[in-house]
Amino acid sequence: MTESTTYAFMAFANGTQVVLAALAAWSTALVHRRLDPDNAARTPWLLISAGFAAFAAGESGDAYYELVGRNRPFPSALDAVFLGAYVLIGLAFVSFVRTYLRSELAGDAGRHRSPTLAFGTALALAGAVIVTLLLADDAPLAARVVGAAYPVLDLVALVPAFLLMRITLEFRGGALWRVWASILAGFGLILAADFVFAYFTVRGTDGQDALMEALYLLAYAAFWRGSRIQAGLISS
Amino acid sequence: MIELIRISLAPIVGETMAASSPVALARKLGFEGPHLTPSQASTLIERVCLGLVVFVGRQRATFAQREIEEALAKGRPQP
Repeated sequence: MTESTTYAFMAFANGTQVVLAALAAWSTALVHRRLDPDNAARTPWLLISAGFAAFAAGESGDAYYELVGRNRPFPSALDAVFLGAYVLIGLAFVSFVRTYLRSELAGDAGRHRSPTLAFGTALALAGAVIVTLLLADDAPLAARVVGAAYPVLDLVALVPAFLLMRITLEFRGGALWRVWASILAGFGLILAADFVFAYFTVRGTDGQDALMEALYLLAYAAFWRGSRIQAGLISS
Repeated sequence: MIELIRISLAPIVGETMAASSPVALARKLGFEGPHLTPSQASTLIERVCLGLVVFVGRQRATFAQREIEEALAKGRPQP
């Protein structure tokens, strides 16, 4: 890609990311608002909406640095916003799991225990390796810690995401499956982008910005699609 | 009866869940045998749709419940 093509793509990707993340935040806020005050799913929808809003805010800041052609300082306040988004989305996933497993439709929750424990253990081992690699880098300590926080938070949130996937797999073919397949695919894409970033950071190479931006773009599009279907499901 | 629930819920929760959840719930409630009494049928429909509330909200769940009850009242084929 030439420099001007790269700039045009980055401008398009960053702008679209902000819009898509904001739309996902709006749609999930609508879901929260449309549910009755006593509905247990209101809290997780609010949490995930706040997470998407934090992504939109973080991407706005990112877009600014990208468009003015300046390197974003790392770590910076923007990282706090992004990391906050991961925490909110992780908490939302935990809250969704608790709410959905209490539903009469979910059946016996015990059948999810062993696979989730095995998956969590595997992720903990993977996390230990990743953190060791990232912290061994010769960058300043703050940069290493914040750089490692992204994949660590990804892995932590991946455990309830795995459980949510198991619960919602049973909805295959229904509208609820389309909601969760989209939202969880979006989360998977965010994860992929973070790991691309971590991998190239460890290798000490860059130039993968276009790939990462494309992955984030697809992730926010998937978040919006799932949120939109869910909002429509409640209003119809 | 189970078939009516399956038909009504499948577009929302998918065929698998729509077919298995009323059966599992009937077992959990202690409703044995191939045929349910009107009171058991009413309880089962209510409980299934109550389970749906956290996923799609009360309005949509109530709509599904009414749809099943109306189909049942019309005497559609029962398993």
